[in-house]
Amino acid sequence: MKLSGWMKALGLLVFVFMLGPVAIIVWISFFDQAYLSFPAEGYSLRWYAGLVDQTELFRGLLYSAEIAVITTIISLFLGVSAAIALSRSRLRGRTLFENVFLLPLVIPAIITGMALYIYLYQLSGIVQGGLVPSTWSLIAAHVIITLPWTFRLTYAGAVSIGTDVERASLDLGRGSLATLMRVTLPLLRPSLIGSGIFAFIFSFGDLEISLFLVSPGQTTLPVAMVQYAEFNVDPTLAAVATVQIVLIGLLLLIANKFIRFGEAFSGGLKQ
Amino acid sequence: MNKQDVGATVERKVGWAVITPAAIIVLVFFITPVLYFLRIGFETPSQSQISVPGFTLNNFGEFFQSAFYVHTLIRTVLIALCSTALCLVLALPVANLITRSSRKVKSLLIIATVFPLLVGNVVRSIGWVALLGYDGAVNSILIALGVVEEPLELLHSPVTVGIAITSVVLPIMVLTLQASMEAVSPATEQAALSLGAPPMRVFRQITFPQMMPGVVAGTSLVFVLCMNSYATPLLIGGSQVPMLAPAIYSAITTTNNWPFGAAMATTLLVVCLTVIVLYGRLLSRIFETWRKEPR
Repeated sequence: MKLSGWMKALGLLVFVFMLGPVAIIVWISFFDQAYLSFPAEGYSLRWYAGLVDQTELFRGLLYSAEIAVITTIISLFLGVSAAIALSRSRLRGRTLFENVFLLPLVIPAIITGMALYIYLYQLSGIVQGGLVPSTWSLIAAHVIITLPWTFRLTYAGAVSIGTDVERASLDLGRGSLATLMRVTLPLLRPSLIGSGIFAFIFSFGDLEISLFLVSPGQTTLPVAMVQYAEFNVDPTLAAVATVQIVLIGLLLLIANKFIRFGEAFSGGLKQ
Repeated sequence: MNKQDVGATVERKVGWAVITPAAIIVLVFFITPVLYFLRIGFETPSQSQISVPGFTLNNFGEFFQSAFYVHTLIRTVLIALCSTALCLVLALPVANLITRSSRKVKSLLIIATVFPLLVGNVVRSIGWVALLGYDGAVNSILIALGVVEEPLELLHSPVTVGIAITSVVLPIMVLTLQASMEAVSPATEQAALSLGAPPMRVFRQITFPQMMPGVVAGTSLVFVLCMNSYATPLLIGGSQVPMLAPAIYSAITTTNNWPFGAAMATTLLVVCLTVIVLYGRLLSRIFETWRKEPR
């Protein structure tokens, strides 16, 4: 079916609606003036140079990157093991496991974050130690919200590649561990890279689950940005947001080579 | 995908060993905390500890007797409904555009849809503040054009909160609709067109009904996301347009009343679930009659 001209125009206009807020942040970050006003009084890179002095935002950026890297490693390990177990061995209760691993997507992250905080807070009383706020509790929370993605993308990949090559390897006398390491995982490389990038991005950008778990003075970038934005939106904030935008844009371009986004997001939570 | 076709290449014993770490992590850091938290909503608040064990519905009574919280709940549902409807209307032409594009353009457009989604709701909400704020881009343009003399108060209104939320969740709707539109067989559309049906009628009677599962999935998901949105109402609406998720946060942080916050969270979950179930039933009924009665 051919598209009529106005349908096309409307579609493109909606892209402006989705991308406009991102574009304007990038634009503002190059403004010369210290406050938000239009049009630009000149352009400069000084807000980027000055980012190092913005302790809260800059430390948030580093802290978020640190949390996201650790989260990605743990989440990949857990998600990939679960995906291989469910796709490669005949476990009872497969549907139950699938749903359990996807459940964190269904419960609002802000509720999960509060729940984890109060639960660890109560546990602290029992074990006589401060469990929250702490970096590891934040990582645990981020692992929970990224696990559905690492699990789901790897699971879909593992099911789609089939088991022919693995069975050939087993039949030819390779042990199951060697087959896993030298056949299955290399075949799954695109899914592994894709889901790792997704885990990083969702951990890095998360606000809601972190709200209760960050310590005062050591917050993640999204929490720091919201606290800043509640008082002021200015080129400094735009500059740090642009760093995030560029980072995610680059990761997206890499991920695009390995997974198909349409399949990753469509159909709601499950295929 | 047929899961049964994939043969077992990992022994069951090994399978159990491999799945256990993930299952334990989810159980310990997700399922138990969430159940514990929701349970607190049925306990009595206390000054010296988080809550007094027991069972009471008083927290829910307090919630539904407070005009502020009831209005917040109604406002949240209304904004979520309007944003979901607007999302559907806006996403259809985009999904159509993506589906009918050539391979190269299609992958470019999908990246352009996924990109804002991954950039995150915080940055995009800040972008909306920059657009709509007192010194924002929209006000500057309106003043430059001489439409208004003083900047308009565009933030802190339910309408702009709804628009910003729509823009934030829209990519999810676009991707879901696009996937279901991709599955519609072009042959049925061509048949209708060649028999002389005008394009709009083909869309209404051939394409759209075949997309129904995607429409249901997309609108349900988007509705839940709107109900739960936090950053957007906080930054765009502020204290003038309170919505449920930020209200839960501030109820807990300002009064330290965890049972009340937990009761609010339970209410939010129950409302979302009820609306989704009722809506699914309603739509499937409408859809049945739609298919039976040829028009």
